[in-house]
Amino acid sequence: MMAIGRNLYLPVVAGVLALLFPMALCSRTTAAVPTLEVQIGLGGHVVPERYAPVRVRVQGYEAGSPATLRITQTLGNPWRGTATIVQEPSVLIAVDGIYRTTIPIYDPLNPVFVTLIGADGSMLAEHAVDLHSARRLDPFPLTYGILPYSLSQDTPPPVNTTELPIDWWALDAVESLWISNAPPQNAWSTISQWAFAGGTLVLLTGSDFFRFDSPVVRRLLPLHNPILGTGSGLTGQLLGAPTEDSRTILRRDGVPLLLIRRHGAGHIALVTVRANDLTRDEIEMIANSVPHSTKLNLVDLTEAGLGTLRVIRPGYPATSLLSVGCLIALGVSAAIWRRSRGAATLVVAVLFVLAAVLSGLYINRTIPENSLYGFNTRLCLYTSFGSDIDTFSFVYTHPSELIHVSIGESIPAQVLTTAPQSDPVASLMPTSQAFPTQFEHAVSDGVLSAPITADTRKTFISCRESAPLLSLLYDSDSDSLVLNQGSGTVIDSGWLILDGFGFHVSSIPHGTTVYPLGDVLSVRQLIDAENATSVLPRLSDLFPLDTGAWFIGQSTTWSPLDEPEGQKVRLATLHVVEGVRSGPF
Amino acid sequence: MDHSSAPLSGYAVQGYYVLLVACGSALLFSIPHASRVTDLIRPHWDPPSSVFFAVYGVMTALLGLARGSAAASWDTAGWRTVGSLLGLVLFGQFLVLPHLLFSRALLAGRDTILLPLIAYVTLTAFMFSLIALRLELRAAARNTRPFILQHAVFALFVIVPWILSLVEHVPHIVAFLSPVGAALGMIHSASAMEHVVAFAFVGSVVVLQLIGIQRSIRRTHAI
Repeated sequence: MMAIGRNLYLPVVAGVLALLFPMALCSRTTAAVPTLEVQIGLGGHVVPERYAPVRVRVQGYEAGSPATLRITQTLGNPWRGTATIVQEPSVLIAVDGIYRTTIPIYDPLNPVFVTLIGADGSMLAEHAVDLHSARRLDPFPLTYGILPYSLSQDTPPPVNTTELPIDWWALDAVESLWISNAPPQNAWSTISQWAFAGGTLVLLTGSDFFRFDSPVVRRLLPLHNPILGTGSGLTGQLLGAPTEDSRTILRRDGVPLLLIRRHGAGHIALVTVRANDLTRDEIEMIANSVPHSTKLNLVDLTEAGLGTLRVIRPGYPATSLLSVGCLIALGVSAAIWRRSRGAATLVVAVLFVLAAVLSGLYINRTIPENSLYGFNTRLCLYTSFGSDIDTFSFVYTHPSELIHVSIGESIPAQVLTTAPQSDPVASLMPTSQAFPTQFEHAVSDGVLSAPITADTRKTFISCRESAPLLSLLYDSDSDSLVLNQGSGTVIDSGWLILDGFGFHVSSIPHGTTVYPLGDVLSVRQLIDAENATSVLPRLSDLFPLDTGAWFIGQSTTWSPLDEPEGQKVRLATLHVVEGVRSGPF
Repeated sequence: MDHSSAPLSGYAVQGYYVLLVACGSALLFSIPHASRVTDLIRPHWDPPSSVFFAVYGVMTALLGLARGSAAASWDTAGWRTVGSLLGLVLFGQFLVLPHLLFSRALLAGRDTILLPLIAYVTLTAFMFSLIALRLELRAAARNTRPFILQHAVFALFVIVPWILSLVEHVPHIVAFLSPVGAALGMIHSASAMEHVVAFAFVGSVVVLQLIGIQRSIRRTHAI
């Protein structure tokens, strides 16, 4: 028996090894091929020409040189022509995991290809995402947490924690965000930034409020010192003193059910009961009462700024002088000709060479390299709870033709770099604040103005500097506004406003400056004192300057862009700081 | 009548005055009136900046026509007359050089196209001077005045191809047979083929005229 066992031992081991070796080889081969799982949009929905979050799960990627993502979108169709937009977000992939970025959606009728690119430029994996069925034409309400009744028939299912984006502009396609469950604390920063930049946040609280209570949420609430009501009819209802800027929209049995306050350019709506305590009619009434999200649209302001740019051209006096000078030179030469031909030849040569040289020297100063003028407006918002929000408007003109860039006109454009992993400057830059510099490849008014090729990605550059630190404090003891300008950014001028009254300041020094509130004018009077292209009228429409402390600063510089050469682009930076009051807020 | 091939004498200088006045006026018209971008955006009509280049082409050609017509009565003959005509055309180009350098401001970074344009306009003016000279000599032999014929030929060359190119189904390249069409096409980034057509047409007419002049010189010597 033992002999038989010994005799069989070697063949059995060899057989097992022979079986295991190919299997091991196969599994090794399989592990070397990375795979991608890609989700684009919120609740499975995207809206054309709005941003959308992208979540990419990378599996099977062996750690080595960091890989990058390439996202390729196709615009158009074979009948009216197609164009490709390639984006390379600054996402470095070193290990397996979930990576997030945010992209503008151009044409969801075509699939979006997400490609994993190795350090050597080779394609490691690719995933095509069909957005055809995910396409929505308009922004839609989004829910986090379950509502007892659906807001509408086509409301997407509630998003879960992992679907919440990390960039505030990824909520661009959201009409209103309904929160009935406690999101992670780090999500509040994104949500509050989005709300401050024009979003509408609906908080369904009641007895659930204390599950997501936090300093940030308290700042957002239209109630001071919220407490839970007790007693008949008030059980589970959130009560408190409404803030000065809040409005009670709906009541239940005389008790506020829905309060709304402005928050920057957006709105915070507070529902004082739990989502499950709402009736279908109440949900419908709330949905009809809350304003829709708005985009921070600075296009009219940017257009006005563009209009003020000087046209680079030669002057009429110089042109007339040239013409008259040439005629006089010819006359003088002809007069001399009658006496001496040799002298006349010399005079005509000297005079016209001189005229040509002077003409050339003059025109070298006024010659335009191209006929495009551009104006970019960067809006930096600093909220009282520490959020910095940047947004961009962008508009340019060709002679007698004004062209808007719809993507990124009111939200940050995408950082697109050709090689983020090898570009230390690009890799340090945050994923916002970029704009196209080759205008002919821009998308205008939602219509492709020129074919966009794969090289388009090279036409986007990042331009963000380090975020300037600005803060404002109203010191009620000394009745003064304390502005802290803690950055190297030069702010040419600005306005300091407290509860709708303020004054103009012509220069903002670095460091901390105390401005006593002396002679103040109403915001309306300040607006009347400004010219039509001033930023104050537009910003007073966007932000509730009649409540709280505000600083609005502006600086305008010629943008030192390198390409295309000689481009006439001006960059105006606006700073809007929401101040805080000393003492209890 | 102008009996001298000297550029600054009598009638000749008048032709240059006309050229300078026309080019100077056209330059003034070509500069956009807008001083701010908002004026560019507002609906308005501006003379196109190409007006200067069209006027420059036409007036230089007219100068060549006038000099060629006058050359029949010069006291020079044969190839010397042809050389003098070329010199007069080049002198005209020298006089408008300040305007041409100034016109770079109208081209927005495309000022390299000025070189082929100047070469083309020079060749065109030379062509018209030779045509005018031959018509004048032929008319002198028949004791007639070729003024109308000369200007009819000029109009035929300048206007007809340009008008024809605007007609549907007529190839656009026909415009490059006209000095105005070619000059406008060149400043609007004409293709290499269009350049070739423009130069080849004018060049071939110049060669034909030179051959004709050579025959008439031989005939004169034979007599």
